[in-house]
Amino acid sequence: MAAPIASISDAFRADGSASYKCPVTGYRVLAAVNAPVELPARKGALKPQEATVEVSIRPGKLSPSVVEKSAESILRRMLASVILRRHAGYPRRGVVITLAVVEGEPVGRSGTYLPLMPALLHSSLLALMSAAVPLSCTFMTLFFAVTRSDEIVRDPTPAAIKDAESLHVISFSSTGRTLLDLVDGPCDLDIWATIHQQAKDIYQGAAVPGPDGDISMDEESNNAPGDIIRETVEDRLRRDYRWEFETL
Amino acid sequence: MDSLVQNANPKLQLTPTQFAAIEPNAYILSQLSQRPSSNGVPTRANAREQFEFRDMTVTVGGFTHANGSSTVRIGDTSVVCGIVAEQIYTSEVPSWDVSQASVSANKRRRLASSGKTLLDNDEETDQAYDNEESRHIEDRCLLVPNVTMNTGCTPGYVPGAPPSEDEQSISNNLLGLLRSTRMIQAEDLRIWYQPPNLDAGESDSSNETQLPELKAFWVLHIDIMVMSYGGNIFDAAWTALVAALRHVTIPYAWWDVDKEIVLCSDDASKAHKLSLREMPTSCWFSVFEPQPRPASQDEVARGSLGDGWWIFADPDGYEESVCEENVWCVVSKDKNGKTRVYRAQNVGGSTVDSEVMHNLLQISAKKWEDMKSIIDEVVATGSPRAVAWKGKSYSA
Amino acid sequence: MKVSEINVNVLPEIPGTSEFKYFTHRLPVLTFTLTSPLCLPPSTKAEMRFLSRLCRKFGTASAVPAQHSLLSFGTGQKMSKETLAAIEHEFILSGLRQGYRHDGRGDNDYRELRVSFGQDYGHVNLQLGKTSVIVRMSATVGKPHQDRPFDGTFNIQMELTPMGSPGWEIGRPSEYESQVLHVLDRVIRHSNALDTESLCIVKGVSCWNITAYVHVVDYDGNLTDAACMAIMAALQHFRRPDSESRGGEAIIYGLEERVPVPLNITRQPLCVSVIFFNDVNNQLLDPTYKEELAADGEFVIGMDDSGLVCFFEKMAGVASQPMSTLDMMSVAGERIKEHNAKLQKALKADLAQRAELGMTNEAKAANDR
Repeated sequence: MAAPIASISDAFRADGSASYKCPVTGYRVLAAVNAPVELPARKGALKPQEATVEVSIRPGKLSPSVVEKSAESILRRMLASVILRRHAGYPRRGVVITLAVVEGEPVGRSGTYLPLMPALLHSSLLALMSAAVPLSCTFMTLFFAVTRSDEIVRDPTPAAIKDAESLHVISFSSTGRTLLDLVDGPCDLDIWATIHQQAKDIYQGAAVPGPDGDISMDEESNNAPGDIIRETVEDRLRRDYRWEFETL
Repeated sequence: MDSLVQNANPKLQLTPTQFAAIEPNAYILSQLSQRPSSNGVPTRANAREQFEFRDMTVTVGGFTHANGSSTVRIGDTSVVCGIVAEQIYTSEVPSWDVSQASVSANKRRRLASSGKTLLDNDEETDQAYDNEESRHIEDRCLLVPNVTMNTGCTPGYVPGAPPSEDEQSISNNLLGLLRSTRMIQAEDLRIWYQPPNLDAGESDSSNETQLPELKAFWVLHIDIMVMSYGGNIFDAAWTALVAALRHVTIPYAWWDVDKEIVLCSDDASKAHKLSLREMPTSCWFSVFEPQPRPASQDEVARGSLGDGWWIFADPDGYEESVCEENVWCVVSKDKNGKTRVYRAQNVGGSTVDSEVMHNLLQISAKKWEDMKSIIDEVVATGSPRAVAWKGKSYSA
Repeated sequence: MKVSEINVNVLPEIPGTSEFKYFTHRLPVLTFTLTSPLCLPPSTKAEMRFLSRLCRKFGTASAVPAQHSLLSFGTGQKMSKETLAAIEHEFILSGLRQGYRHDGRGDNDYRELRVSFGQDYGHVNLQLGKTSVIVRMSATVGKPHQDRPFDGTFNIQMELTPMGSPGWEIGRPSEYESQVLHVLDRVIRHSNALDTESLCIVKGVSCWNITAYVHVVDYDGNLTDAACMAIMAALQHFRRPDSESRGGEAIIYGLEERVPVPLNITRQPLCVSVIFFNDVNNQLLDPTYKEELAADGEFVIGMDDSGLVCFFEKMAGVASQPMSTLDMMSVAGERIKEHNAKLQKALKADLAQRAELGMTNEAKAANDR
């Protein structure tokens, strides 16, 4: 399985930006975060005690439609639960997240956004970190498909997605909790439970830091999408601190 | 005025309604901890138990000019659904005369194999056929659900504004569910024309050439209007949609060769109902956390979570405004009594894990049994008669 | 190495400027001078970003004196409107008076132009300095307009999202957005750069609808020129599925079945935006966003590859000298030639790469057989 490609990019104007490409589905998402910003036009909607999170998705080669609205609403609620919206400096302001799908086939009317969820979520997370938005935790997202013969496939290909009976997206926080759980399509409750067990195993095999804060480098850990997030941030930090390391 | 006089004493006193408006979290929490019901279960601010659903009334066939209609009332939420079937000629479909070279090859193969399926009764091909059929519905936009909020249904509604995110999201979820349940069969929405067999004298070879032609489709415009917003709009909208679809009658239509139009018969006995495949039930749950969300990393590290949280089934508008995490389940049971999940969505917080989710799915499955019998009853009684369902509490 | 001390001095001689000194073992190792408009609208995004990065790097407020008023910017006071601080405006103008552009370029110089192509046909990434644009093309089959049964359609879709600049909001198209779109429409669409008649499949029944979707990834001025180049590159790079008409029925061939066909491009128009000022005589090409905000007037020249003017428009702003405007024409012509040459080179290189890839793939397939 090819590893996803992620990077924290150097946006000139946005506070934070990142790109994430899922090689299996072929989707590449650019994320930009502006936070905290004043939203003078949304005065009525701003809350005195916390920040307002806004998410917008621009499909690559289609005009945004109702399908995007629905995905935006899921992303907005999911990311709002991760961002510390009551952090000093954030109440009454906005966290504006913009996502553009720059590679991959667009989702049509009545299509499902589930295959895009990992790329959308991971790129948002990286962009949020690059914008130094205070977060309560990081997260990783897993994507499964169940075929007609009730076989569970992790990170299915576009062809497999098209033929799948049901699609599943599960996100775990770095604190070990379920942040997001999405199912689309008919699937037996038993299979649902099996997928959850599998997801948990992958998660636990991956992101359990040892006593010294290190991740054990066994084979399983190479599979977890949480690692790519960590590596990307590490790469970026190494680059940013190079002047300091080099003067050592 | 009376309350002003009462509050004349120096100590500030709040009426319960004021308290509820100012400190909703504390209010709901106090209700949960103070008012155990008869069997000792904590009770919500609206006097319901945690997994208690509200009373529901379903009426079918209220509209005279719609092909199918229904009204659903869940507590303070009321929703009206009207379905109108319109014809669209294949000649008007923008890309009808366009065929993808690869697809038409498939079509040919399918035509050939459909003969084979009759012999083999091969389930695989059948399913592939189903799939292609449902894609047919999607490609041609034959189902158009649309949710609109009625002016005055909720104080927050601004008349004349573009569709809100809620409305768009519900419309899209309805369409998504219609797709993933494959509830409606494409065949019900097709209007065929069988060219007369001019050279009937010759045998089987002519049978091949006289294939029926697809002349038009029925497009179902499913309009749902929210008359009053009292929380849990989606369940009401979905129930209304299912009831209305069961009620839909489509007149017999045929292609008139001379006039080159589709004509409809007003003979009610010739009209057909939709043959619906599945009828899952949708259930919304809200998760109530009395503690405000943490404001800094320190607070997260200290862990303010775990001070208790409650799940409210079928939340009303007040509860919805307080809760951030929501769980949405759409389930049904198959012939063997096995639970099938069509949609599950848990987003907005980190309290519900897979075990809790499993329980909620099972509760939804139990509700499905009740819902199925209600809708069966409504449809069976004919129009228009209301069927009421007394709200009840479930446990996994 | 640990930073032991950071000194922040406000330099009184230059208003609104402060100096950051980093000390290691009491030795200054780094000095930053920061122009920051303390009492002006906090538009200077770059400074705030810089500050917030510093804060992040040095363990936030503990390293940098927290009482310093600059830091209040770093913690969130930001406006979402595009504004330019008066001090920066003055900085740009005074530089121009002395014959310098604030980034050291000559008046007629463009920033570095980089073009790359994605895996899909018609996917172009284009960077002009820090301005970054992605264009994706789509081709769908639709019905032609009733009054033009022989024509397909071509459209340009662009929405300025907060990704490009925090000043842009979704759902509130700014004047700037419609202005840029207007220029692109005139230069590319109305000059008939793409021959729409070639997009007809079956007369009056079906045709190709070609749409270019422009995503502004980063905005540092001169979006018009950058987007124009990107769209033109995308049009030339794009291949639509092959189609033919067979007895009134349109047949579309998938990308695997037949080699997709390029669009029929009749000419290659590009545009050059020129800004000018009230009290300074310079006319600048390829302005950064700060120069754009400081400018008092702008005009755009559109020319095709043969040097014919296909578009000229002077937007609102101060009046310009007719002779110097004419002078710009020839300069613009040169730039457009250069840009077209660069685009052609990039397109050729990509084509060659694709051909090579195709050959190796074929060879691989042959080997497998």
